[in-house]
Amino acid sequence: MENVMKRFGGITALNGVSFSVKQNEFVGIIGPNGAGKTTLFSTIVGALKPDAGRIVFRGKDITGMRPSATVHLGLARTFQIVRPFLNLTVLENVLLSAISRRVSRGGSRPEDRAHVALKRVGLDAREPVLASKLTHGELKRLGIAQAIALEPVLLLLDEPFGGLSTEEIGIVSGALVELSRAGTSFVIIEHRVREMMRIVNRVIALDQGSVLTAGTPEEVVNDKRVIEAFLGGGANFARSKTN
Amino acid sequence: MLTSILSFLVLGTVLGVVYVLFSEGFSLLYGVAGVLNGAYGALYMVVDYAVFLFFFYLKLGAVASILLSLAFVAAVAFLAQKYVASRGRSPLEALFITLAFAFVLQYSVQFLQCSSAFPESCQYPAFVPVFITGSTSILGVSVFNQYVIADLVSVVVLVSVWLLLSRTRTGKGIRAVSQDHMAASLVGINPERAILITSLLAAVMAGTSSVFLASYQTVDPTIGWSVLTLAFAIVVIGGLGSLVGTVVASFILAFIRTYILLFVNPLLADFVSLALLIVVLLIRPQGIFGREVS
Amino acid sequence: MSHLIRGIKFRTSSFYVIIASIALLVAVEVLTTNPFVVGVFTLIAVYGVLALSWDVLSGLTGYLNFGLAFPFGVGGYLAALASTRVGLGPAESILLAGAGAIGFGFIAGATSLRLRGHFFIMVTLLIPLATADFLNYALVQDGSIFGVNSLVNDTAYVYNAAVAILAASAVLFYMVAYSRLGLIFRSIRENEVAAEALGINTAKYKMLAFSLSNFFAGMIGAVYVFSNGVASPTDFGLLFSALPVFMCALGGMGTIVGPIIGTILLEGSIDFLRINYIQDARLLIASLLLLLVLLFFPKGIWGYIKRGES
Repeated sequence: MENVMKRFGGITALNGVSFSVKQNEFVGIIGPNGAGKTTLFSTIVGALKPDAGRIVFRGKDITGMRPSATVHLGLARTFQIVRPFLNLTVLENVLLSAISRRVSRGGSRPEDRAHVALKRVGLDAREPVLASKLTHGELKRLGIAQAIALEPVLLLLDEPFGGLSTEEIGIVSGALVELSRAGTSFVIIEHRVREMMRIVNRVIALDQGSVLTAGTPEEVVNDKRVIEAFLGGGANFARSKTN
Repeated sequence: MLTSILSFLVLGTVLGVVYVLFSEGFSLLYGVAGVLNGAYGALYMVVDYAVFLFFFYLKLGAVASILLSLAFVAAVAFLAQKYVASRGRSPLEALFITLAFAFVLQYSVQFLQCSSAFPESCQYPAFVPVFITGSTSILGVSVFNQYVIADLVSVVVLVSVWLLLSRTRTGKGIRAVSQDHMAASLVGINPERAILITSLLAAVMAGTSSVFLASYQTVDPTIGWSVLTLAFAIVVIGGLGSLVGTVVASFILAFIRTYILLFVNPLLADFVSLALLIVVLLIRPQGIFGREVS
Repeated sequence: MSHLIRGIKFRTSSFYVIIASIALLVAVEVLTTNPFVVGVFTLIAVYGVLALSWDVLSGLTGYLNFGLAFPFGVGGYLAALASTRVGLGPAESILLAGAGAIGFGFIAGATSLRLRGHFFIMVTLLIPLATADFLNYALVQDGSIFGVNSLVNDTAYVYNAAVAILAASAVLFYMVAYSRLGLIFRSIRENEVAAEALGINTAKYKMLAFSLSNFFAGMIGAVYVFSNGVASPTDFGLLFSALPVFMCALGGMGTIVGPIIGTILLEGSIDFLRINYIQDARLLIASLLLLLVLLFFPKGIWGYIKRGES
């Protein structure tokens, strides 16, 4: 089964972006600020409607479908700036995802799924705490736990490592790898390119709403156009390669 | 036939001007405070009772009663804004709190007007006297002089407010706050002060229109709600935050109301305003001139 | 949807208070036949149901409905029509009233639930007022329906019906509020956009809350009309929209227990404070009380009591 996502055309934020994601793939998206990465995610899940083009998910045209509907087809996304339910507890935050996912793969109770998701991101000790009391890193992990509890087929992660400590990055990467073994595919937007490169199969570089190039991590990072677009960033990539 | 149309046009216009006055007060307050003030109608009502009190009980002259009442209601509005409305942590809470305050005002007036504590006053239902008697003929239509004066006063007040907002430093500060609280405070303008001054202005505008309109209407503690409804309808239909929209919508509603009063059935007047409001909220919530609702 | 009403703890102080209140109301009927006392507690039951209905929608989802008089009045008129024109018995009329209130509520809800914040408040506030105006115009006899006589003298039946409806709504709403469904409702209040992003169909759940609210408000509206013998436009009045809100705010919004506490306190003081000058100032005192609570105890009485817990 293929998770095919194709997009043509788009708003001026996105100009003729096209790509597809195969099952179990781990795709990374890089690009300078304003390249349209977050807009891309919002369009895929249906928070924004594209002016042109199509989005196809597992054989179904989901262009312009509402986010609450795309979630039930197996799509999930996290946000760069997390949107938790501040006055609810950590457990309740994830429980909402678990409840939303009506029929689970294993037939388990939502409460159990919530516990598991929180354990995966290392937040099980903080379950009764109000979300408003969490640190930034914990909030980001909470967002990921919410997405995990939705048991998505395709997970879109928007800067999941932003603001996380090295230890937290390790926990999250581990959780993602585990999910990938269970069959989930990923698309990740990340500025912390080094960490991302370790886990992705393929990279797409965006600039000003268009795809610059795509390929394996090494290919993209050494592509002249990419280095130019990112100005000094290119030098960092080259250095990271030798790490 | 011609007389009917003329009646419609003239009376509609006369009414429209006064509508502009009190809805602009409401609109200003919303624009600056970002909050719909649920006590606006109650303030309108309080003015009438204050005039009744000064004129009938204290036997002060007409002009003195009016001016004192305006001062009184301005003070009430000021205190309400400073100590009540500002306590709301969100616009919703503020609306809630101001609505509760409106009820307090209403029941206070009701209690003072007629209760076992003040039994004598029950005999005298409140009214606001006609200050300017007689009527003149405009384009062949007979219009009460009081309404004519009301229009003139309204125009004077509106122009003064407009001048205040565009020419004085205080006014410019108020406009800055209505656009962006944060930015305004960063350049040293105090948003709270701007809101307080605006609430004074709004109270005066509401009060002035109230005084003139009340002479020909019944006065009871509940009239505030239909006023609030009307002001809200006008401001929403015209577009929240748009002063021009408020003017346009005022006239639209004034003409609709006049039409229904003259040619259809007076009982339907309120209902039609409400129905129109509901329709607008469904089809185009930002109103005619409003910005997109986020 | 049944999977959502799960995981409810009944051994909580909140539930005990609910049971105690119901017991109190039942005890009143057993212990006294004083018509004044029964009358007061009937009113307490009526307003209690209204307050509960408000809480299950507005306290939980955050959509502040200021137009509870609409289903209340609709229920009353439907029951009046059913009883006088069709000859239905009281019990059937009451149930019909509830169902009808849901139906009419769909119209009101489909329109207003699309709006946010203060728009929702104002539109819901206005709908019953517009309806009252319309009835005044459309129906003869001041827009009223007279002759709803089947229960006018049967205060026992009226009281039993009111208490039964109160008990049913209190228990049901408690189950809703403290279950997964309640969590979903609260997520709408906390962050509706985030809830949508998690796949929760907020439109559906808002309508569900609205319908629950309307059903019981409609039924108790029917009971009210039966006890008066008349359905009149004042049934759509501001008092029935506003007082329940006051009672919830006083007792604590979103707790289901709060409305009951608030109603007993507020309505009790309105009716029992029959000291000379205070009597006419009842509504004034009530609204002052509300204002003070809103200013200083935003979480209401029960909220204040429970403030330590998460």
